[in-house]
Amino acid sequence: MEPVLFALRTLGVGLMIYLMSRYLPRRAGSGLAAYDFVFFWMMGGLAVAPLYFLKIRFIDTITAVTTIYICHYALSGLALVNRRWADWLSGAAFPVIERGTIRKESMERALLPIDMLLSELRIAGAGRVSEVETALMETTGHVSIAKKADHLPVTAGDIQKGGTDQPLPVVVVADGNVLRQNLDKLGVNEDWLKDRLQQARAPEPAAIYAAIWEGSEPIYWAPKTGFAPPTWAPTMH
Amino acid sequence: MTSSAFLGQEGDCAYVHQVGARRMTWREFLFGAEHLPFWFFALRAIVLYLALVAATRWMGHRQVGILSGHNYLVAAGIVSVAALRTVHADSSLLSGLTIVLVYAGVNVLLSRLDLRWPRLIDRQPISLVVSGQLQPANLRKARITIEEFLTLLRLGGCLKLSEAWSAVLEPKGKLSIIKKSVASPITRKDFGLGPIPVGGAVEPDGTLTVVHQGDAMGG
Repeated sequence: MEPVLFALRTLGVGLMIYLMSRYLPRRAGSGLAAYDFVFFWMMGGLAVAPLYFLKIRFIDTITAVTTIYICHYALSGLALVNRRWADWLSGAAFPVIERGTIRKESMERALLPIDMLLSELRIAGAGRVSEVETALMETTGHVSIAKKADHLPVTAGDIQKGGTDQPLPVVVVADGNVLRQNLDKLGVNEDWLKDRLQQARAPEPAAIYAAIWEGSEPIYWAPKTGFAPPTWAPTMH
Repeated sequence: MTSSAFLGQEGDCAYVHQVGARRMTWREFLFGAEHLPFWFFALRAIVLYLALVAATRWMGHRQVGILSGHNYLVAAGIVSVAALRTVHADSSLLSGLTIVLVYAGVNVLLSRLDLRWPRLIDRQPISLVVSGQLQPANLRKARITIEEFLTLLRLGGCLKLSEAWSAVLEPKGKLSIIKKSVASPITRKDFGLGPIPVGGAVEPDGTLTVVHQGDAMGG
């Protein structure tokens, strides 16, 4: 009988996890600060608590989960309006490398051994300490770096070559379905879509797995089966 | 919901139980009891959540980033204990708070020891590619297959093994990759571009010193 009860409880936990994840604060997933870290991990532990013992009631778990959601919401709200509170709650980023020099006092404050700093620098894309101008220990616990000018990649702006900033891609067809709400956001209609698909030598939307508007580029599309031919049609605005 | 009322005594604290008007004793709050009202769990959740936030701040930013093995294990354990004690009626809140404090203290101690003797506390990175050469012995030591290694390379933006100059499997499990110079983006130095001014400082005699990125400390 007990396995059956736990099986039913597991289904209940599954439903609870769905609801919890549906309303999970985005910042908690980023782990921006200590209270996000605690929230995220505690939710994991609380969600499965009814599966430890039968005498742990669902109502008590739901009460605890709801309370901690409210706490997290309140803490993050307070941090938005009060900087002193935000500093206490989250701490602040501080430099462990400043103007190219490793700062011993910052390393001790971060409890960061030198080998671990080198590891974090490599993960951040700096193979050598001498490449780094500034390294910050962020409140997320990771190190972000600013490389010295000599080691920065050349950009279009450096060589005075103009570029065009493209907007974020928008999906206009998904698995054969035209996404009308996304066409509305772009301020276009289905005739426009049909025209752009024809330019890209795409079939009817029903045969398309994904069609993605990417700005001035030809519309990107992928068929439900097989491969798309190269898109060489000229762009029309 | 049926109502029930009884008068009982526990130690020197009397309590009455009725629907919607349960009076809780300090003993029950701190040490738990077999039957507790639902709002008690809300109070427990607040206390343990805030205790964990304070403990995590004490453990430092490295705990949030889970920079080493003991950070990960403490994270998994400490919140699991707190979560269970939040909803387990007859578990002691005071014990839970004690566990959080001591467990956090152990983590801080391990982090401080890591600062002094890193080789004693944490694992070391393993070089999987050195000077462009794959190190099969180290792949075996890291227990990683070649397919898994290629996956990690691709996830790190290196599509060809031949492009990698160095690949290190870090203690926290991430693969850091340094590409060969021919496969790396051209740098400002390669292009002969000058330094970047980042600010200035007014000297006591009134002259302005322009500070460039990369200038050594002290001028």
